[in-house]
Amino acid sequence: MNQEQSQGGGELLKLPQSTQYQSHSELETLLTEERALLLKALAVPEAALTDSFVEDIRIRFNGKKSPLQDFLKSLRVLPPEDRKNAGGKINELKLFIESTLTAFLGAYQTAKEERDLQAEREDLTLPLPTLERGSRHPIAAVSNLLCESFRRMGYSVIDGPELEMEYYNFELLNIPAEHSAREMQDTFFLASEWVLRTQTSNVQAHAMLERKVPLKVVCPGYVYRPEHDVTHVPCFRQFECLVIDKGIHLGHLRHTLDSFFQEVFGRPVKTRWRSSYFPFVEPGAEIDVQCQQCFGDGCRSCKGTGWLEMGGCGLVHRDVLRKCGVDPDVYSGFAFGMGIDRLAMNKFAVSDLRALYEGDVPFLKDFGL
Amino acid sequence: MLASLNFVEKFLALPKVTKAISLQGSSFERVCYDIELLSPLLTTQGFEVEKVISVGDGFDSVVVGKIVEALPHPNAQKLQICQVDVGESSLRQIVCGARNARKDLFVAVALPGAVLPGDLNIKASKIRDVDSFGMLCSRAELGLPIKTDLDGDGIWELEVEAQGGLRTQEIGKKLGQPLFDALGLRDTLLELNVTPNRPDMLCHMGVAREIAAGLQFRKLPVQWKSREWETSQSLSVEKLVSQVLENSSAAVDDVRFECKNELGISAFFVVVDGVVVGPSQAWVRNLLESLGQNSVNNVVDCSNLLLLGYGHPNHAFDLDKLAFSDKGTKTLTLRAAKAGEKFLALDGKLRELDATDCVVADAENVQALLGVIGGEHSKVDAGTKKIVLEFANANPVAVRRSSRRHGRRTDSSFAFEKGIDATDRFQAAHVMLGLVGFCSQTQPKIIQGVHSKLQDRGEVARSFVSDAQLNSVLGPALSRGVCVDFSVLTQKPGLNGAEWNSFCAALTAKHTISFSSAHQKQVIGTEPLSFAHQLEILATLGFGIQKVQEDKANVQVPHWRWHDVCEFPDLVEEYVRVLGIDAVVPIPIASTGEPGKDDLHYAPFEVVSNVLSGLGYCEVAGYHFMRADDLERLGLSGILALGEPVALKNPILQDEPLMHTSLVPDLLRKIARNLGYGVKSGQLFHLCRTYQNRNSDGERFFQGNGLEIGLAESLKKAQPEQLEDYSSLHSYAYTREASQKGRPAETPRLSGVLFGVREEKNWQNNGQRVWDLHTVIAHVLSCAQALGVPAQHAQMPASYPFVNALHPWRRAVLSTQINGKDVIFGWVGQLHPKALRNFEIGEQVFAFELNLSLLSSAHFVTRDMAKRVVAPRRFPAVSRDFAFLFNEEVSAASLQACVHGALAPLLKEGQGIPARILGVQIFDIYRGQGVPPGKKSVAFNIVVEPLERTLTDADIQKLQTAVIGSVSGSLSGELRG
Repeated sequence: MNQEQSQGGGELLKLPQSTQYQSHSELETLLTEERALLLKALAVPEAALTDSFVEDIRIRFNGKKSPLQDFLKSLRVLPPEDRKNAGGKINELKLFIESTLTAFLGAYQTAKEERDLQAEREDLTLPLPTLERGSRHPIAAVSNLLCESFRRMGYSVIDGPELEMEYYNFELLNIPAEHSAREMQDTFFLASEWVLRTQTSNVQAHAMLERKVPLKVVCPGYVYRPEHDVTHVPCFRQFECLVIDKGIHLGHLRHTLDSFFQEVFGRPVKTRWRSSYFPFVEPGAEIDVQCQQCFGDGCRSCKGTGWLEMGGCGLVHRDVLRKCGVDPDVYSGFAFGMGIDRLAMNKFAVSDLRALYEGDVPFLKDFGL
Repeated sequence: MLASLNFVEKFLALPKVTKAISLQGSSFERVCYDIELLSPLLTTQGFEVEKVISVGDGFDSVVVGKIVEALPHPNAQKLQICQVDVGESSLRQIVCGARNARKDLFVAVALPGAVLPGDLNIKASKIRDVDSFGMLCSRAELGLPIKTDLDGDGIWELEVEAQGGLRTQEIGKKLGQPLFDALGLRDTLLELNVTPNRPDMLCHMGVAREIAAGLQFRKLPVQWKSREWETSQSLSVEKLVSQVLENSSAAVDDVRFECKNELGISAFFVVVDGVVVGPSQAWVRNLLESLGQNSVNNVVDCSNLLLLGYGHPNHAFDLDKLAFSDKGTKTLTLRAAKAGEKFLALDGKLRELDATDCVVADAENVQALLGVIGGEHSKVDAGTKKIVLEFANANPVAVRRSSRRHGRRTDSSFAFEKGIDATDRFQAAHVMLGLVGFCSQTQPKIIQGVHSKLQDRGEVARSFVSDAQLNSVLGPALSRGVCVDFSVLTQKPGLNGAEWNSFCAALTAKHTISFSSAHQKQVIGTEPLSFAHQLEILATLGFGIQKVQEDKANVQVPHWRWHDVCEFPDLVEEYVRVLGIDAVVPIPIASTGEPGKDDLHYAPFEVVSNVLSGLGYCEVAGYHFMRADDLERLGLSGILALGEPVALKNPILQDEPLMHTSLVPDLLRKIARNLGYGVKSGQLFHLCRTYQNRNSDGERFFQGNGLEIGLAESLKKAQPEQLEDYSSLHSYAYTREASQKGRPAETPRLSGVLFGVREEKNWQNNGQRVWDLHTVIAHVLSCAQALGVPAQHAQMPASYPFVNALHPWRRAVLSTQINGKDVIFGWVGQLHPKALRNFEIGEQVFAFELNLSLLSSAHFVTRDMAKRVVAPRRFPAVSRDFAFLFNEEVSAASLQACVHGALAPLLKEGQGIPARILGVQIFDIYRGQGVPPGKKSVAFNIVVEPLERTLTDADIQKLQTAVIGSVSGSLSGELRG
């Protein structure tokens, strides 16, 4: 509170010279005076009001030592017949003071809040702070998306080893020893009969041999091939789906993949099936999904064909079933495999696959949580 | 496979459409292949048409003309003024610079408006003051290949057959017609993607078969054609077979020819005399050239036609050019090359061979790299009279390796790699002999077929084939799958007639499939095709059909499909792909009830990944390899510091020949890359497996690990150490094999790095915030916490592998209790500047790495989750602040312990004040003015939650006194203010 206000306040809050009264009329004069003083005090211009001045006013007029209290205390000096009437008058003043102060304080509070808020100016154009937020890798995100949609169809997500015996990676999948996939330029070899798996299909073999049929499983995972260019990296992720049960046929495969692609792309998409060949399925097919950028008109991301190659599939070859200890005359099954990286590339329109492996922070952050 | 429909048309009448073409006012009708039908047909049937090339498109304004008059140009010595008849009402005047332009010559005339290759626009113009209305073209100007010996350097002389033209009487009828139509040069080429199971589709015959099946399915006429050369010769296949099996040598004039076979592959030769070598006929030259091949001469071209048309690689040697091995004897030997042996191939390159190359050699030199390319020395040329045709079934793997090693991929090597129809080689030889006759317009004298003498295995025994009836099944008998082998016979030299019979019968039966109408539903779920229609399609594809019942048949697989059609699903696939696999009707799988259960580790891995990405880390992906010196760069003891890494025999990134044992080096490289691109700070994490050359017993797994890449010694030398969480014993079992002993260790690991500053200075905070050890530890512990694993951090033991890679004060290990034992599951720390220098990083880096196998197993055994769950609050918590002066040595942990110790007796359940401690929080540590040296002022705050009633002033006073008493007593703290 500054000096000036305090002085002004001092004047306004001056106590009456005496609060003593001897008669009813004296009391009435005092009461009128007190009422007038209150109104005068409250008439101070808004700008001169401060928290302490407002509090002083309250104490002065309604405090424990205020004249109002004195008036009440002195009531007994009046003759008993006047007391009732005088008490009424004092009470009247008390009610007046209380209600006036409440209204005044309320108004003061509201005005002050508003004034304070007005003082808190903000520049909306200031830069926002950077949050410590990271991101999941786009390939992991796509992989999770794929797993999730298969989980909803009742599949189990299973895993398998990356360092693999040639037997599991090739023989059990009908890929004979002289097959060109088994040359140095297509497979990473470790010592003796071991390789880095070239496809997640090794998990098919493990699943059939080590788990109980019927099977309804998917397996995301890393696979390795000695290639390194704009669309190939030596270590990338694949997604494998395997169903073994009685009476499984191509219609089931078709239905599964149709609903799967619908989930992945969030809407019904056109698929195209082409007969193809993979040693571990028969019949085998490749699936194309209508390009989601140009919807079949042909664009850069589909190389003008209007279709995106999604992966290979087919009914599990009867020889593979036999080798994996499943009786092909009782059970049949289908399998489907696709490259997750390629799907991620398409989904996020990344043109150089290697960019996904460089670990550039701003690039990764852009994928959000 | 590049297929020329002109060539396919030689086998099968293709569907065509007629298009009206208008040309310089006149119009005519052009008959084209119906590509709108054929291209989708092949694509659905499994041979994706990647490209359709129309040969001759854009040349409609180049027409056949005849020079009626050629006069010298008055103003130019080398030019002539020609009057050319292009079938118009008047002659066209064209100025021409070619010397061979002369009266009566039939020529290719580019009319004004034509656009020739190289964007040459033909316009009516004046050449040295003489009007010229077009251009007379050479083959080169029309974009066609040139053979200088045949084509000269002038304009194209259309009546010369060797130049790809027509005979005079025929070309005369075509004046004014578009040239490519007139000469039959128009063609449609299809680039087909052939899957590896269908090597029979790598020739035009195969393409014709597939198209026929598609036509059959569409109920369109299937009209096979016969080819003159297949019928125009005297020697029958049967005769040839018996000749080959009987003769081990052939005599031509006074030269004896024989063949030695050291490779044990099946091979035979046919010796032909009286060959007349010359330029090929126009259709042969045009066909080969439109397929991008060179036309060499009639014999060599026949050899190529046989390969392109029928899929049979072969080679013709000039017998006269072969060296004598003995007096009067010439020998070809199929053998392995000697290391260092030189070979001059037909492409003019001198190659040095090694012992894994298979060759055909005469007594002196290598004459062919078997299955890949022939030799320059013995090639067939204009002077050749006698040829030896070689039909050897080279080993596909040997051919593939030789062709890769020598950087020469030929149609022949490609065919061998993919697998030839080895059962059909005699038939192929028969066609070849017909072709040679047909193309040289003479009947050469076929001396005879000769088999090769197998070294050390005796000759091919004649007794096997004494019965002429067996000749027809001989081919099949020679074949086992993709590559035929005479050795099938020679391995059992004692086989008698009866055994041979049963062998052949068994072989035939092996390739007969019993097929029924029920199979369709079994494989595709619905029945779109009738059984009869199925069988029709199969028959068109060459399958033999024997109907046993109305709904059953025995289907005999044609020999060119033996290797890939074995069971009924294969047969279903045959007609399903003709029908279009797209036509399969989607049907939901009937639920088998049990919902899926994921492998257990997926869920915890997702939890920690999400925790970290929520804490600001970006997940990365990497290649899972590392360099041999990566761990040393980090400051670890050596290549084996984290267990023996697995070595790749054939690394692709030459400097990264090992599978990684830690994720940190790769993350550091990613940091360096970020810094290099001006990204000064960030947080990264990687969840990935690491790999160790150990099995689950900790035994070394791959012997000779790293031998090929020269690391075996350094891998052997180092000693395995105390590895804590990096021990291979803490790996994860990724299969459910009964024993994991037989597998190297794969361990899921989680690693993170934080580089640069935490927050740059900004308008809200004008000092930058840096990362600190405690925050990073909190990050890591929150991963454990999210998994419900109680974890602690502690001083890093001096034996820990990462101890020297980290800041001596800013490092810690993390541990948890598993089965009652404290187990370290990872570490956190600030990387040592030395390590950072080695990775070219100039910013502070904090890092951590956790063994997720341990962490998730702790997650699975933690059952006391209920204990951690707190009831919602019922009474307002009470908070009191304190400040004490302490000696520097007093640690935060001892203060915590002291406060808890002081309060515990007062808050004892059922006896003392009903409340519990929510936290003891240090909120200020101050040294400096007002605090004596060697001392620190520590302010902390205690929050207590009442459990049954609101606390009284007396309660709070009691707690306060206890804290002050205890802290000033046992920690010599001096209460401030």
